[in-house]
Amino acid sequence: MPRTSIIPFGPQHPAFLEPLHLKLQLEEERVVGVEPSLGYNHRGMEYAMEKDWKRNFFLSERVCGICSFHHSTTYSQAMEAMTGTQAPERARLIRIIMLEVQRVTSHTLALGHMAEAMGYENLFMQFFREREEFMRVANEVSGNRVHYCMNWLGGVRRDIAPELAKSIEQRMDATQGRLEELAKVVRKDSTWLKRTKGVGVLSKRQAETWAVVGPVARASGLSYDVRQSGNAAYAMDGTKFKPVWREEGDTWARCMVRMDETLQSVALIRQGLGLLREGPIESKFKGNPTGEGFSRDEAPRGELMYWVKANGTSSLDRVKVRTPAFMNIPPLGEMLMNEQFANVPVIVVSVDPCICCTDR
Amino acid sequence: MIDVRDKLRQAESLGPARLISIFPVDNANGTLDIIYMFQVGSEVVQHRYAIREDEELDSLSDLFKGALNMEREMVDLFGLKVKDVEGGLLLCPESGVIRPLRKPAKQTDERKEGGDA
Repeated sequence: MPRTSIIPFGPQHPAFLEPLHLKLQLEEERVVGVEPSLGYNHRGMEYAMEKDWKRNFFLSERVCGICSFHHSTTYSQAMEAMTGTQAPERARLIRIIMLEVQRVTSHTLALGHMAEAMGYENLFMQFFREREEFMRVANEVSGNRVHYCMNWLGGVRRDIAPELAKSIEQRMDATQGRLEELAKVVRKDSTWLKRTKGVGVLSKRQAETWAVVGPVARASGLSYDVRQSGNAAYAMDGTKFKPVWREEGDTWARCMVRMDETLQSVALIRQGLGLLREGPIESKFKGNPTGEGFSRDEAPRGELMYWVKANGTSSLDRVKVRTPAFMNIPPLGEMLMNEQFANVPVIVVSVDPCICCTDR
Repeated sequence: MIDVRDKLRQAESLGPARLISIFPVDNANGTLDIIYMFQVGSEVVQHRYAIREDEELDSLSDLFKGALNMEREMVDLFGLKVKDVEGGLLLCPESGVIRPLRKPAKQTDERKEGGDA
């Protein structure tokens, strides 16, 4: 009868720097029990957002630095739905471009982090080299690298000048080839395959019952993507979009979905730039809103939801933020079960858990 | 105890339902609205129930495991009672912070009159 040991993974761990704690129960090297615990980073963001609806266009970005534009866009869309304000076409396209730029920065960060967890230092640096190109694009469009402060009720506060649009297109051409080379490593490299194939499997049924979202869901056979439908559907603005999804449900599939989505985002940025026409970037709204508004957006980690209730004053009655990582972290218990202890960091990183988003 | 399962079963007849979120909204009068949000096909379906603050909710975590943390959050941040669900997800029980997202009850006209008198 093997002896059972309890090993803590986090909240401080070299393979995963954010404060997530997993209480792992091991029989020799095999994981036989997992108890995730959260809340180390709870900041009361929903409470803070009730104080001033105008401040939230900037405050919502502070929920998470990796998908900040997604947060402020979703909040803006919820407020626009509440007030019946329609953002102009150019503003919606600028949002799509920035959303996709930030998706690339997030996915390349996740893939680089994955390489680092496997001991692939050089590959980590290559992913981050490509990421830097997109960070610079975001910086040039918004004037900031992390918190862009671009969204507002009814549109955006920064435009993309024709010269900048041309420059971005040229850079997309240059980075695409390098990203395709990196995709070959993720797809075919023998070490990468050995560490990820058949490891940390989440079946389609498990993915449904845990209500997981984003690349984690799409790697387990659920083709669901917010960009396909609803008020945030890309087709409404003329861009062509088809979700990337796979059926394997393992760590490799989660990496492949992110890798293919990175290339898809480059294509969407090009489409968005090609569709930009002269026009306003903001619709005006005066006064304080009243009523309820709801919006969803496909953030890099999956479906992000904002639900807002206003009362006609500068404060709000309620702001609910449902982040994708909040849904994707709990099933780690199922993914880690019966896996080797050495695979734990790789599986945890493959979920791309964001504790800032989860704890809010 | 509110029966969201029945409503969900009706919605499920349209296609498989995917849980999006469960969250409360404080009405500041001793009642809360509990909103259950699902995706059925390409539609978002909302079920909304008004409950008293001391009323116990049924847990959906046997149908959707993903519901458990949403329910634990409701216990932590709103002090709600959910059947067989304990808090401690976001707040430490020993921290002394109790239901931080609840609102103080609004003064009713009756109370105002009484106070003024």
